[in-house]
Amino acid sequence: MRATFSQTYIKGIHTIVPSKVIDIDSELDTIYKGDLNALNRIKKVIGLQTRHIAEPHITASDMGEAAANALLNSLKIERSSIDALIFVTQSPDYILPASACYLHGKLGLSPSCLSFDINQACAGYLYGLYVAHSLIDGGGAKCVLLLVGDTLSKFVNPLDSNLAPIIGDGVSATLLQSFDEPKKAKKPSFFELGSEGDKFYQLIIPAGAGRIPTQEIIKDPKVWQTSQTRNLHQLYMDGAEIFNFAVMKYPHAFEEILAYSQENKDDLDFFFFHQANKYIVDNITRRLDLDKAKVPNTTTSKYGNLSGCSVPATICDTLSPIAKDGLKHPLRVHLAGFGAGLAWGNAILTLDQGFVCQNIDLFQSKTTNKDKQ
Amino acid sequence: MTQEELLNHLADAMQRDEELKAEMPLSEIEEWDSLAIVSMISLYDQLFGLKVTGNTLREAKSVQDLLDLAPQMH
Repeated sequence: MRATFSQTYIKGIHTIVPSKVIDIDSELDTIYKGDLNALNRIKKVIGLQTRHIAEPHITASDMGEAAANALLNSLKIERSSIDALIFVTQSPDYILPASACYLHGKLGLSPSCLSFDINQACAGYLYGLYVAHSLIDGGGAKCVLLLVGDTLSKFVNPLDSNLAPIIGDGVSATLLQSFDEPKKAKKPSFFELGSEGDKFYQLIIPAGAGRIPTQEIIKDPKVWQTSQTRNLHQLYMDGAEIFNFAVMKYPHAFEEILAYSQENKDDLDFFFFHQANKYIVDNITRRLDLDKAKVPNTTTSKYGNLSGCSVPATICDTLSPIAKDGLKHPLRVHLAGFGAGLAWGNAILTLDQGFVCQNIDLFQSKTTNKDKQ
Repeated sequence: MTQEELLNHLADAMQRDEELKAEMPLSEIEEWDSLAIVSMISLYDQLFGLKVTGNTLREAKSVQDLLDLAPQMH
């Protein structure tokens, strides 16, 4: 589906990752069983080096709370002015209630603020932005706090050579506000989102929620090939098919949003793709014939694949030098996420003059809870 | 493209320094793993605009099977 918005803008973003760092070089003897060639190939082709992993007692909501507090403090936003809190995550604290409701209490938001989770992963930032824009352009909300991110490492076997080296943890907070009427955006924000649900099994944690998994429902035998390094309660990814989806299917969605928005790709300042890995982003960049200088592609080597948090983390990583005290000039940017669902989302929007983002921050578990009290 | 040229592309995509030969079984090629499969998908798309699935590649037994996926080899 497609949508155009003109009343909503992004005021700021803050991203937090856990302080514990794993360097892939330290895993030569564990994950790679001493095979230096295999390790070097992964580093070179996929572009992996370090990732930040949450300790067992730290969850996505902990980092979401810290990111939200840092953002609200830096933007000097009154908590009572927030009309909606959205948390896009696939690693909630509880099956119920929503992590957003838990955080609503922790953050001390107003009783009239609605709070809900969106269950999306790598496309999640785009889904969350779309819903936030809808709430504000619809007139019901003036100010939306959007949290996006995961601790998917909790659902990956640390010895799974397919996934463990790629998956990193992190959560971002984004604040969206309404222009004071009659002011509107100079250029509208365009969104294009979709899903291919028949491929739900290509990126899946098969067991652990309401459904007892059966081979009738999940027909692909590869999902069932469990081993010492993966059980059915852990994440499965069909890497080749996800690659195909990202590199073959996704570019059509890009062409669609360009056609829909009637914008010229050469006029856009940055392309923030979901940082699945360097190889995928390189492939998409080449396929779409984009200027590499406008396509940030180093997030995975520093933080791994951050799920829905990868787009906001990459924005912070790229723009903080020019946006830590507020952007001096507006930037017209393209954002894209694609992954589990399978789902994707695209947007072309403006990061306006005054937009604020800081360097990616490390989670400090001792201070976050006390800070607020 | 000649078979030799394609073999060079395959070795390159697999990040393999030693020569590849058509008759080699993939099971004996150290670099043949899930990463190599993804690299093949990208390579065939780039060279021939051809969409190869992961399952097709997983069924390949030898380097010759990979060569056979390419159109009209000379």
